[in-house]
Amino acid sequence: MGLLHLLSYAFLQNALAAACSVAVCAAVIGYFLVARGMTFAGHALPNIGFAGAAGAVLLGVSPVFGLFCFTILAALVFSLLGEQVREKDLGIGVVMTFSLGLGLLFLTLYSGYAERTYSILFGTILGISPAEVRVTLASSLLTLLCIGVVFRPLLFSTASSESALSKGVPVRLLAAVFLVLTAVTVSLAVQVTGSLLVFTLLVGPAATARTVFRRPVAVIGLAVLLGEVYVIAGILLAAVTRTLPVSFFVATLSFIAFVLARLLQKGRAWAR
Amino acid sequence: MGEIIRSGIFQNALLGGTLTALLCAAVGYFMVLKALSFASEALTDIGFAGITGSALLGWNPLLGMLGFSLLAIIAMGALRDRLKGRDVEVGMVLSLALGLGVLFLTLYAQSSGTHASSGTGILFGSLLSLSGSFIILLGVVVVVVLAVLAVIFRPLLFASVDSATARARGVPTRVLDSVYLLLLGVTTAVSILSMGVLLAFALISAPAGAAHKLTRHPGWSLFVAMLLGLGITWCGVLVAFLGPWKRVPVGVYIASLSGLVYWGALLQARFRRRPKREANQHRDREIGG
Repeated sequence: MGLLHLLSYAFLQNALAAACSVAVCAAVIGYFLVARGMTFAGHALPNIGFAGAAGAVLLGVSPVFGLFCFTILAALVFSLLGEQVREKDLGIGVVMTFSLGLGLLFLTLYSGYAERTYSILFGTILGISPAEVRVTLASSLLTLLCIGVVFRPLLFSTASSESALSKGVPVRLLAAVFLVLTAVTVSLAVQVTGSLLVFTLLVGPAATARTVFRRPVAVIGLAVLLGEVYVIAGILLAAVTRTLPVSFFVATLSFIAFVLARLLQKGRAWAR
Repeated sequence: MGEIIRSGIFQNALLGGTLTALLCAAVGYFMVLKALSFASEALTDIGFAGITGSALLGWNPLLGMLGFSLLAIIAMGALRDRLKGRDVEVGMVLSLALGLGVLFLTLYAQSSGTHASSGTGILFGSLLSLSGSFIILLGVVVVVVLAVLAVIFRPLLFASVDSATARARGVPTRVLDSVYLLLLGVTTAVSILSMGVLLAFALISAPAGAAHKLTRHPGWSLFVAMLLGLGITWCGVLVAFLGPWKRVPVGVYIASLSGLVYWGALLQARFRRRPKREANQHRDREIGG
């Protein structure tokens, strides 16, 4: 009864619509991110976006421009970092530190109260307008369409970059295109959900789904489903408790699901 | 100028920065060898959750952070026996910790009536509020961590470079890894208290990463890492205190210098490698002819 009453609130409907569309994109992108060993990039890009937003606020333009500029630039740098874990992760870490340093500089130089910038860092989804919901829906669809176009070659080069390369698939170009798509998704999602929740939605569903299934399409399907369950449950729980943040519930749910899936996997291996 | 140099705030900042930089560079050297960048970045963010949690519960922040880091290390290790390259487990623990951090921050802001943006202070930190007693604590931690590293230096190096061979030779790699992760946890905890989340990771990763690019010899590399860490910190502190831009915090300088040093070393390594390969080809041709 209380739940049904809550659902009649427009702000909750907006939050659910935006979060659900972001979660689909994040789960699909997240599958490739996890499979390619780029989880760190999923953590770094939202933080880099924060720095970009701070810069845009300082220049007096919309934070969206800063978000896109910084994340896409960072994505292009990431695609140049090579395959070796040590070099790649160090490079991502240094780019992130550098941009957060810049973000700090922008924040100090800006004399006003940078409310919108902070909301990108710790953001909350329970306060977005219907117009933002429409933009989020449209851009999520567009991102999914782009992934659909490169889906097969991307899958091939993710599974085995050597054999994809030998078959003439432009592996490096695909890596760059994929990371730019990730940057776009992150930039769109970060405004709605805050940087922490983006990371959780990218990594959580895909990581859990990968321990359950092997076939990529099945993994992506389950990841999308899990992502939806997390955000809906997270938003409703936050609405019921009134004061606790959505991101906390989503992160906790996705962690519990991941641990359960891992235990199940271990149990199955042990029984065999 | 002399007034600033003689002031207690400046001296504490310089001393604290020096100790933190040395500690981070030494521990960071093995972090780079073990390819644990993501895990160590995660540990600094987990420290954020620890510090907000301690503030909420009224615990000692250092003990709260150490407890959190320890739990996180155990969780990352339990989910997978080797951390290297397996970034999913690290990511899951990180996302949970960040979720808890946001929860603690929200609750703390509600209970104390401050705005949630007060959390950015912990993220970006500052060297300006170090007390004398904290410097002494920092000094003790530096001595203990460096002493432990010195004792286990050779086996840890062996285990980090080639763990399979080291295990075959009877080196207790799992024990060494656990001890190292503990040192990493302690280092991140005290560094966050002295410099904030952002700079702690900057000083652990960038100097050591650059040193690995500049020289391959282990002893030299460690030395260069410490030297670079000190250089970055000193430059940052000096410019922040004596430079003309009074409002810009020291974190901006240290973070951007770390980035520049790493990219500089990367470029240097790239340009140095090319002539050597050409020289080798030349030599091979001469031998062949």
